[in-house]
Amino acid sequence: MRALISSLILLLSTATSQAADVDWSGWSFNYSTDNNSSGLVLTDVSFNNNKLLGKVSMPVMRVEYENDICGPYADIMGPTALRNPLNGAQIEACNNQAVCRRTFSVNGENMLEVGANWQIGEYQIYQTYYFSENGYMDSRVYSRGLQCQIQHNHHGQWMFDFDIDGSANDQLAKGDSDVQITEFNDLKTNTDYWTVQDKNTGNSVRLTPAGDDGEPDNFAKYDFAARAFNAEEVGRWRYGARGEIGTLFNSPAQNIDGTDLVVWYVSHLPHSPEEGAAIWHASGPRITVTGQSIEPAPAPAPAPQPAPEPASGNNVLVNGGFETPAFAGWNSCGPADNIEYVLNGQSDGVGAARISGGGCLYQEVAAQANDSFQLSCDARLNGTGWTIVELSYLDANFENLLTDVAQVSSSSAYANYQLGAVAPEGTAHVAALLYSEANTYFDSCSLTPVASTAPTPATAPAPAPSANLLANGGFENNLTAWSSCGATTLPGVSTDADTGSSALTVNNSGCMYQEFTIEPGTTYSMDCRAKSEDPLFYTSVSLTLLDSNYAALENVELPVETPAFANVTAQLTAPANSRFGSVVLYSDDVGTFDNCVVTSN
Amino acid sequence: MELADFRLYFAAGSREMAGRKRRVIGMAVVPLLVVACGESDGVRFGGPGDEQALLTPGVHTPHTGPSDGIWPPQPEGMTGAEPFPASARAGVLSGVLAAARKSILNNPQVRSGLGTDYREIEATLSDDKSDQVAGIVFYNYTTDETIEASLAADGTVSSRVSGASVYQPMEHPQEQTDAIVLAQTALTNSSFDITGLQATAMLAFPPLSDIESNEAHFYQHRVLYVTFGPGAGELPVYTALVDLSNASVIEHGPVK
Repeated sequence: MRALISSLILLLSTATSQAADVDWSGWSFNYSTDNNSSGLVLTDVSFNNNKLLGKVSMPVMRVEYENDICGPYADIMGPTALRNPLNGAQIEACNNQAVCRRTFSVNGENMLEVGANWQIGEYQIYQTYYFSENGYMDSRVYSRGLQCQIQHNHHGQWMFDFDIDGSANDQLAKGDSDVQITEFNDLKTNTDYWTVQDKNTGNSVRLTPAGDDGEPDNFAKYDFAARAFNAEEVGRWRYGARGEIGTLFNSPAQNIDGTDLVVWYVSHLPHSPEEGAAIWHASGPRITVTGQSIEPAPAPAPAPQPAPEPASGNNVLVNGGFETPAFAGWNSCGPADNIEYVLNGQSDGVGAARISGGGCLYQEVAAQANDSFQLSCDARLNGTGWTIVELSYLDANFENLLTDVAQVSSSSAYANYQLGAVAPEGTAHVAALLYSEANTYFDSCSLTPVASTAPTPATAPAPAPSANLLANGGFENNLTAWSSCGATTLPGVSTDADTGSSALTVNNSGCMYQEFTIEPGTTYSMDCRAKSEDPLFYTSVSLTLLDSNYAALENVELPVETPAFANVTAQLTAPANSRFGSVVLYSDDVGTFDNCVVTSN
Repeated sequence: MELADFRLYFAAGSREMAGRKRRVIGMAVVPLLVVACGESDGVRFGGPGDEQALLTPGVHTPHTGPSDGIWPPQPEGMTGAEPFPASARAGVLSGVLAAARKSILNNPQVRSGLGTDYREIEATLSDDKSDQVAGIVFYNYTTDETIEASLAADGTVSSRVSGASVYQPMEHPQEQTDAIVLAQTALTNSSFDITGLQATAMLAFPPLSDIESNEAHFYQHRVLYVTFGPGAGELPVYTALVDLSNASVIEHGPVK
């Protein structure tokens, strides 16, 4: 048995997912290896400041074997298939990392390569993009390995969401001028290339098949499909091994003339077992910028700008108050159109940042283990969109080690949010991040080191018995320290209190939670005062103990059925591996909660 | 791997195993010998200013060939390769995803749908054009359903439930481990010698003869295809079809 077990070797060493923003020789884009299990995904691709693509992905590579003797398969390049090419390279290349980022030259032409290595069964797949300084990008996929001794065909399926000069007004032609009006499927034998342009600006790109893109067959009948954008269709692949894009999403055919346009492109890689396992089969098309100046447009002369507001005092953030010039010192981590520098609505000074629609700003500075930083920001959220302030510690490769987050509550006035944490081992950076799905103003942000701390003890001292592990359990300080877990309208604080002046009122499937740190073996008691206006609508209080992956280990969910305030109590002992406790307050309609207390016994 | 290591791995997995019979063990080790191959003599496309080149079919960014054994494939004529630096974007956005996960996983309706025997397969921040912040995909082994829970931009948490035959996410590494150990047991019980072989596992899909309807793209259970072979992408020696929903081996034997 020992010899048997020791002989089993499995390629399960999943690599850490990666994402980054890239600016290189006129090209600008973001990439990610964990976007809806769609391979190495590019988003917001621009060349010379002209937007080309909202997203490029490879959601699936379908494989059919002769007579179904093996398979079929749908190779999904999701985060759990991302692998470092350990022992795979005979030379040092890309430091043997799962994601290869490098620049190089070919005959004097400068190129940028961003590629990712995946392992699915016996197959190794390298999906990559090559960018040329001359305005084209090659989307290529390489595959090697042998799963069965049967003739088979791989069909790599790219999704190009073209957003030339914005998502609207896309237009597609076979060749240069044969404009297509409605959704259609196509073969590369019908045209040398397809052109996509913005109907208003005329800026265009050309999608050209490669000589090694293979031929369609009965399993994958088409090379090309043009579809109107549908958010449901551009995420993860839901159609297994036999779903073919050419036969999906097209009944009835929709208009694609002057709309948001998506192109699916399929390459075909035949594989004979006689070729062996070692051959890289390769294919993939080229996107060429054809309808805009290849030379970068001369940039307007920059207006004289004052120097960015420097970090001052102990504050290590540059321009934390969003004074002129605008976002100097900050980096965008979301759609750039959704961050705005405003000169009204600030909490202090001259300007503020207004963030909406998934807009995101961050700033990172050097830090080391056992540093302790406090992030303070003023925020004012108009509406109900999910909005956070985040403090993170990152290692030298920018991988996240520890995050502390505060959800921003809806308010007509600025509120101050403060976060603090001690940097764990391996820390090389500390980062402050602001994110909002709604219309939120941020201002007066500071990141300050607090008194240097001794190394964190292996186990934190247990809190004194009877100390409430929940902050603001009586909601006297509005929603401070509580976070939303689902509502179309955020719960609010009312004066219908059990004691004090405030309580939490939840309706319309609203949900609020607060998390606290726990120790295995310790017993935790929860007590909340709660009532339900109408017992026909479900209202509950939950105490949950979770592991570090946020999987529930123990859970008690107590229905609230009384129209007057009553105690809701629970007690749980933290099992091994437990890390967090969470109190959840939920109501279909209408529950009121007050005086929530959690103590350790 | 020494026996002691193997026992440690058992111990580490004991909590999870206690609640679920099929949570069997196995060991993930790693390396893969990559031999980069492939012949290329295609004509390279020119830049956008070269109209003739644009119209000439050829291979885009041809690579160097079958015998250089290089990962990643090397573009032909490449010189002066330099690493391109990363940025902090992924690290800070993983904090956003972690916060979204907490909102989703604290929602009582989501927890109710997951039951007690489930696995989180994937968590993803949503695209710019989406009205969601993030989504998490789970598989519930009790009901054989895929649950896609999402946090909308307005803070709403919702779930989409699909039967196993309609949609299943890709396999999780722990599922691979579970399937491999079940397959290993079946093969050794049948006197097949898998000593020294490397194992892989991937989600299996029904052959055309087993598909019940146009909407049924997947098996009705969570089924993985397991192989045992010399590794490095070489043809496997043994295979097995493993049903993780009931911890059974559907078929096993020499590779076809």
